[in-house]
Amino acid sequence: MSPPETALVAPAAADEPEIDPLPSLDDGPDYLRAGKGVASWLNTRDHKRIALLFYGAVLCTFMLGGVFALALRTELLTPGRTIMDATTYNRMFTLHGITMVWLFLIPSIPNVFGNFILPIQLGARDLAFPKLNLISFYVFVIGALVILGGMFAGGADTGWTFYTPYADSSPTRVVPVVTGVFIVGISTIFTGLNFIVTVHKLRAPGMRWSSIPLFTWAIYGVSIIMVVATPVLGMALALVGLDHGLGLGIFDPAVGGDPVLFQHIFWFYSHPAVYIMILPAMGVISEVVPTFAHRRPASYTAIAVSTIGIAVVGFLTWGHHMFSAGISELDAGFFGVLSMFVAVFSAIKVFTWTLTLRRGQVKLNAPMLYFFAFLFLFVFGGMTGVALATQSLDLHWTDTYFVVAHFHFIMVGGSVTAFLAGAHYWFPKMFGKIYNERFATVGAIAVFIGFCLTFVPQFLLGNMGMPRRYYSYPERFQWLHVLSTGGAFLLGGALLLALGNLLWALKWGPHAPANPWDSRSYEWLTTSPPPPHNFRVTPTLGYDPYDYSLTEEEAREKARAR
Amino acid sequence: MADETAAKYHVGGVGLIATFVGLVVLATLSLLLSFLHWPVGDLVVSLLIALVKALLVVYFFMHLIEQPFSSHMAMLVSLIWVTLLIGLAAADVVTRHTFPVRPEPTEGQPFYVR
Amino acid sequence: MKRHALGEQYGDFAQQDETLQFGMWVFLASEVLLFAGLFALYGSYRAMYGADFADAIKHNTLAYGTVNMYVLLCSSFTVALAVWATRRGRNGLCVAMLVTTALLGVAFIVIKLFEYAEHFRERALPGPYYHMAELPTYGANRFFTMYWLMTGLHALHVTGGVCLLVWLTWRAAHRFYTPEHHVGLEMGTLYWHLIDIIWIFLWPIMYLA
Repeated sequence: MSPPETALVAPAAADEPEIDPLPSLDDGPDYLRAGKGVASWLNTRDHKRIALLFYGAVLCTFMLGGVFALALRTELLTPGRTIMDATTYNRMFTLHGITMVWLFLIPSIPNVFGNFILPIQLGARDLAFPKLNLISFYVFVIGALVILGGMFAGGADTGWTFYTPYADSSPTRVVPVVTGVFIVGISTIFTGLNFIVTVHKLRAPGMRWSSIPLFTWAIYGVSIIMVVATPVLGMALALVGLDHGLGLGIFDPAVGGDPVLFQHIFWFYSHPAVYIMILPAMGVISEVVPTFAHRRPASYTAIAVSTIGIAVVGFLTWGHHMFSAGISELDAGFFGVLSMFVAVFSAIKVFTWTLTLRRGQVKLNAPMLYFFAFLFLFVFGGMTGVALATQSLDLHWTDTYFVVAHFHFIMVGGSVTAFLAGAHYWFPKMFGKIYNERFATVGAIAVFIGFCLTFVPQFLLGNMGMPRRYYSYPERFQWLHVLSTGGAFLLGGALLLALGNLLWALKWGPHAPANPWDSRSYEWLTTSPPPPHNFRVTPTLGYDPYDYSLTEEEAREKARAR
Repeated sequence: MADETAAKYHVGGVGLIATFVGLVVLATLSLLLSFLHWPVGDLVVSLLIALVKALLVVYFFMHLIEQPFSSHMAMLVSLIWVTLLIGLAAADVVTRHTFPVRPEPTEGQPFYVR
Repeated sequence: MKRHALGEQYGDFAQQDETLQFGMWVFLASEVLLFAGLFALYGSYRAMYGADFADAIKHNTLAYGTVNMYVLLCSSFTVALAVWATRRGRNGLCVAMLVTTALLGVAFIVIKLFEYAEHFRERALPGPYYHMAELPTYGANRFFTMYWLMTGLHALHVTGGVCLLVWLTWRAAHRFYTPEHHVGLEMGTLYWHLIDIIWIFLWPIMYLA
C-alpha cells in the first residue's frame, strides 16, 4: 500500500478483467456531446465543460478590455481632446486595467487550459472538487457582473491600483468595482485550491512529482500563488471599500494613517499576481516547445525548479513598485536585489527552451510561431524589468510609458501570446477539429507586428519622459502616440483574425486525430475530443511525458500496462 | 482504509485534556507576565507564547500530527508568508527617516533646513 | 439526506477523505493570509507610534479580552471532544459537545458586543470618528482603528463559525456522522479552531501591554 502522498490504486481490482484505460472514439459520445441542452452545460461537473464556460467568459472580457484599450488609444491620437474628456479617459485606463488583469489575464490560462488539461495530464478523471470548480465559474461571473455594474454606473478613475488617498475620496463608483474584484478573487482562490489538491492527491498510480508534465507544474506553482496572495488582495480592496464607503480613515494621514501601507498590502498580492499571469504562459510554452521540436526539454528539472523558484521569490519583490513612494532605503535595496534575482529563474527557462530546439525536428506550426514571438518579446520585456529594478534608473522611468511598455511586453507579448499558442496547440484536443494553418500563420505574424508597432514606441515615449495615465501631452510626443494607436488597431484586427480562424474551424475544420502533433504528453493519449471522464479507468502512465525516443504506439502500450 | 488511518497516531482523550490544560496554563502565564510591563520584551514574549498555544491547537486539537506532510506544508507556508508581509512592511516603517516629523520652518530660515 | 457518496474521481473513501482534509488545510491557509494584511497594518502602525499606541492598549478592558480568550480555548476543547466522540461512535456526546461549542461562541459574541458598546460610549472609534478625550494622540487613533477592524473581522468569522456549528449539530443529530465517515465534521471543526488561533494572536496584541 503506497503512502498517502502518491495516488492510490485504481478502482478496478487486480482480479477483474483488464480494461484498456485509453478510450477510443467508439466508446460513446465525447464530453461535448454527452448530455444535451443548456442545462447540462450550466450544471456540469465536467472540468472540460467548465473550461469551455470559462473560455467563453474570458474571450468576452478580453474583447471588453480591448475596447477600453482602443478607446483610450484613440483619445491619445491628439494632445488635446479627441473623443472624450479627461475624467472619462481616467475611467478608460482604469477599467482597461481592471478588466484585463482580473477578468482576463489571471483566469485565462489557468481556468481554461488548466481546467481542461491538468486532470488529463495527471491521469485523473476530474479535479478533486468538481462542484467547487463550477461554483468558481459562477462566482467569477457574479464578480464580473458586479464590476460591469460599477462600470455602467460610472466606473472608477483611480487606476487599477486603487492607490490611497485618492481611492478613498474619488467621486466615482469605487465600492461596486472593488467589491466585484473581491468576488472574482474568491473564484481565483477556489480554483487555486482545487488545482493544488488535485496535483497532490489525484495523480495516476506511480506518478511521482518528477514525472508530472511541465504544464501541470506551472499550474501548481500558479495555484500556490493564487491561494496565498489573493486573500491579501481581498483585504486591500476591502479596506479601500471601507475607507471609501464609511470614511474610516485607515490610510488617512489626517488621523495618523499612512497611505504607503496600502501600497504594501496591495503590491504584496499584485506583484505575485503578475507571476499568476506569466507562469501558466510559461507552462504552455514548456509543452509546445518539446512537442514541436520533437525533443525532451533540455532540462526538466530546471523548468520545474524554476517554476517553484518564481512562485516563491516572486513574493519577495513587491516593493519595486514603490521605489518612489517613500519607502525606506533598506526595504528598497532588499526589493531591488530580489527583483533582479527572480529574473534568474525566467532566464533559466528561456535558456532551457532554446536549448531544447537544438538538434530537434522543429516544425513551424502556429503554436511554435507564437513561441518565437513569446521568446523575443518576453526576453526584451524581462530585461527592461531588470533595468527597472535598478532604483536609480527607475526614478527616471517610474510612472512613465516605459513601465507601461515593459509590462505590456510581458503581459501581451508573454501571456497573451502564450494563450494564443495554447489555444492553437490544444484546439484539436478540445474540439476534435484542426484549424487552418495558413490563416493561423498570418494571424500570428500580424499579432507580432501589431504588438511591436503598439508598444515599441511606448518605450521611446517613456524614456523621453511621457508620464503614464496622462490625458494630454506635448506636441513632440504625438508621432509616437499615433504609431502606437495604429499598432493597437492592427493588433486588435490580428487577434480577431486569429479568433475567427479558430471559430471557423470549429464548424468547418477537418476532424482531428487523437495526437495530431505526435506529442508524448499525457493528454494526447485520450481521444480528440476526450470522453466525459478522460479515461475508461485510471491509467498507469508509466513513462516520461517527454520521452521522444518512444514511438506513439510504444507510449500507448506503456500507458496501458498495469 | 479506515483501519489504516486508525493504526496511525491518533490524538486520544488524554492528549486532548493535556493540550487543554497546557493552553490554559500558557494563557495564564501570558497574562501574569504582562503585569511585569517589560518595555520591548513583553510583545516578543507574549507572541512567542501565542505561537506555542497556536501550535498546540494545530497539532493536537486540529489533528495535524495525524496528517501527511502536505497538510503540514500548507500550515507552514501560510505562517512564513504572514511573517514575510508583516516583517517587510514594518521594516519599511521602522527604517524610514521620516519620523519624528520635521519641525515647522521658522521665519527667516530656509524651507529645507534639516 | 444523501449519505456518504464516493465521487467519480476517487478510488476509495480513504482517498476522498484525505483529499477533503487537505483541501480544508489549504483553505485555512488562505484564511490566515486574509488576516495577514491587517496584522501587517497593525505591526506597521505600532512600530510608527510606539508609546502612544501602547498607552491605548492599556486603555482596553483586560477582563473582556481575557475572559474571551478562555471562552475560546474551552470552545476549542469541546469541539475537539466532539470529533473524539464521533471517532468512538458516541453520537450523543458529539451533539452535546457541538451545542456547547456553539453556546461558547455565542457567549464570545455577547461579551464582545458589551465591549463594543463601552468603546462606543467612550468614542473610541476608528479614524475620523475617534473622539476619546483621555487619549487624543494619533497612536491611540491608529490602535482603535486597527482594533475595530481586526476584532470586527474576527467576530464576523465567529458568527459564521457558530452558524457552521449549528449546521454540523443538525447533521450529527440526524446520525449523519459515523466512525468511518465523518470527514465533514472534522473539516468544520478545523474552521472553529482557526477562529481560536486568530484570537490567540489578537489577544496579546490588543489587550496585553
